[in-house]
Amino acid sequence: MGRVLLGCGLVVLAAVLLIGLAVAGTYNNLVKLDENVKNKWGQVENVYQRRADLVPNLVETVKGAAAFEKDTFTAVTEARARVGQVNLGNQVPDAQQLQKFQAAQDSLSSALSRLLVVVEKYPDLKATQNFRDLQAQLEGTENRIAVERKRFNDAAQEFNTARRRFPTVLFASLLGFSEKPYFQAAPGSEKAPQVKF
Amino acid sequence: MALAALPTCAALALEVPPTPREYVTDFAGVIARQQVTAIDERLQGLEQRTGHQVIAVFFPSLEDEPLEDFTIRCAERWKVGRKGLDDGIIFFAFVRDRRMRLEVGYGLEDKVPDAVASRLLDNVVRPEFARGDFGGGVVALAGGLAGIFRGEPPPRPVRGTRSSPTFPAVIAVVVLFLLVRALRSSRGGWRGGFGGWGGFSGGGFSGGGFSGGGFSSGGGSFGGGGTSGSW
Repeated sequence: MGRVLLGCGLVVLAAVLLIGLAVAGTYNNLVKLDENVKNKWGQVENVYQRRADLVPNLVETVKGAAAFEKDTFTAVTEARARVGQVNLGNQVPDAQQLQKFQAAQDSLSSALSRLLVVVEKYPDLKATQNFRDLQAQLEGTENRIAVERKRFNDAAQEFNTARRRFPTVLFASLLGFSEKPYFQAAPGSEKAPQVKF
Repeated sequence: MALAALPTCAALALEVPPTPREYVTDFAGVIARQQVTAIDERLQGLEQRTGHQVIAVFFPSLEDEPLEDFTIRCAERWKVGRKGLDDGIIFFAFVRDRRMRLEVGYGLEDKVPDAVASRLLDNVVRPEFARGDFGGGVVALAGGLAGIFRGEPPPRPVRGTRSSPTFPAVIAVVVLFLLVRALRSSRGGWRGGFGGWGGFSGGGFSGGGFSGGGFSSGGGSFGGGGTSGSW
């Protein structure tokens, strides 16, 4: 009788140990993927910050030659200030926070677009090396943003897929792993403001 | 870009070629063979002097693929530049579209920022391309980059070409010896169980880097820096 109990006990213990190991393995994998998402988010914030940092220089350069376009400058400067306010402090955002973040960045994109359209009216300004350098930097930054957003989306997808698998999905939330949001491509804003000479 | 790849469209999309084996790859047939070899040697020399990998690839056409999309996929696949240092540069030219791009690795974004890359394409490459001298354009680009890299300290020797397997092995043997002595003194006779000591792999004999001819990528990564241009 005692033996049977001991036997059952051992079986239960073994089962618990095996489950424990499996859960540990899954947990560790989720941690790895989660860290990757955080890393990619950091990159995204970096490149967006880089763009925001270009704005003062860009505005100053254009102001010199196109002083009358005050509304456009104001719009860009204000959009940049709004972007600075949506500061997520290196935390991977949830879906709502990401939406706000993206909205702020998109409005800076539109303001920059309009600024570049305005510059079309000032061919002398367009031709200066200074402006061309700035334009190269702006386009380069937009490209980097596109690249890092894609990499973030890929990392988020990897994480979300692992998290939603069965049976991981049963205890993922318990362990503190929430679903990661994706960047959505707003219609028409995927391409950097293109100005053809 | 919002269009998902329909089955028919996917067949027409430009494929990312396998990692180039030469410093200059001319799919478009616009550079004479001897010139290709000459430029190849020049870029190889640039790598040997500075450690940075610079390659050029000519395509006949973009085939309606978005330019930066395609080039970053190539860069991600080919991994030009040294791993960790990410100091690769890839020059792309699409002849029928008259478009080009300089893709700059993460590690060279300080020396070759977008503005500098843009000037290289506009002032150095474009005049040659506009005259139809594609080889000359790449030569000029190589010269421009060499100028930027001049004055750098010589590159550290590539790890793995000369690392000796003996050092870790010596340590392992010493540890083993001490272990055996300790065990023997604590309980008489500990036999066997030395199997599974395989894998004395030395500090990495991987072949990335100087292969003495032809190009082999060093594992570098790219972040979308660089600039696009046209002629």
